[in-house]
Amino acid sequence: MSAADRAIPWLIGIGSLGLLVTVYLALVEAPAMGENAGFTAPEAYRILFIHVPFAWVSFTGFALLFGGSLAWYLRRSEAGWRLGVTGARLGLLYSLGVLISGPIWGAAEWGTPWDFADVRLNTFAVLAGVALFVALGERNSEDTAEIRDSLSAVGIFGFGLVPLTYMATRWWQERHPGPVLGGGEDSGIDPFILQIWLIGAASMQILFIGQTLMTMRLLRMENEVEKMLTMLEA
Amino acid sequence: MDDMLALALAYGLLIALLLGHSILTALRMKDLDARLEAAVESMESASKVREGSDLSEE
Repeated sequence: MSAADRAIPWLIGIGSLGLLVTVYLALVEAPAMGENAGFTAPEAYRILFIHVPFAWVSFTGFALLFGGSLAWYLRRSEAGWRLGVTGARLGLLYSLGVLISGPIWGAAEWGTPWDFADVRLNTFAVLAGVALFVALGERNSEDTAEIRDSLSAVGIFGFGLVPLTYMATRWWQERHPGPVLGGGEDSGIDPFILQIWLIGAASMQILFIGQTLMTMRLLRMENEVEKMLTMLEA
Repeated sequence: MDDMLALALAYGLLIALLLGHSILTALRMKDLDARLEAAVESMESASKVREGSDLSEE
């Protein structure tokens, strides 16, 4: 067993523990936000303590999908392919977290779960669709170089939506809240809230690294089983 | 949507999502371990059969 494989339970354990601390801080320690703070749902805002880290980590998944797809496309790297598939699977997992928690908060705060005129919401949904397409395509198609090329192309071009999604609230802010970090004079956040976000994001990132190593190991094992079965059949 | 209901629903679903993913991955890992073990055993018995037939031919 390699050092990376041995680190998997530790990373997943530490990440999960950190997330439990984040949930405690978000639900118990963080103050309620009344109408004077600009919120109509004073308790539901606590969803954002976990929604935002989910969103940040989902971008790491999309970055892995992009990097892995590029490595497969340019160098025919097996490890690159596995990394891309891992990025698609985990990008999908974390973007699902965003797409579950966001509309629930929207329903409580805005009175509607979705706004089809808001660019941030829609580009993020398409990004999740890209991850879903690659993850399902890899799982349900024959494993050939042509299929890998096609899925990698989707992963590479789909990544173009990441900067667009990031900038969307700066360029066309509709309903989704504007940037709180690096968003200019009007942006900014309470230091305690930022602290909880950062603990949540760091914990989730550690969990994500553990899940990445575990998924890569799973794909490697699948590959070994396939090779053995092919040898047995021959 | 009710303020508290939204909070409980969101946290419940997100925890279920992460737990569900972990359980599914662990089950797939277990299944693969079993398949890998079975494949190794099959290869070993196949090589033994091959060795046996080689000896009988000699």
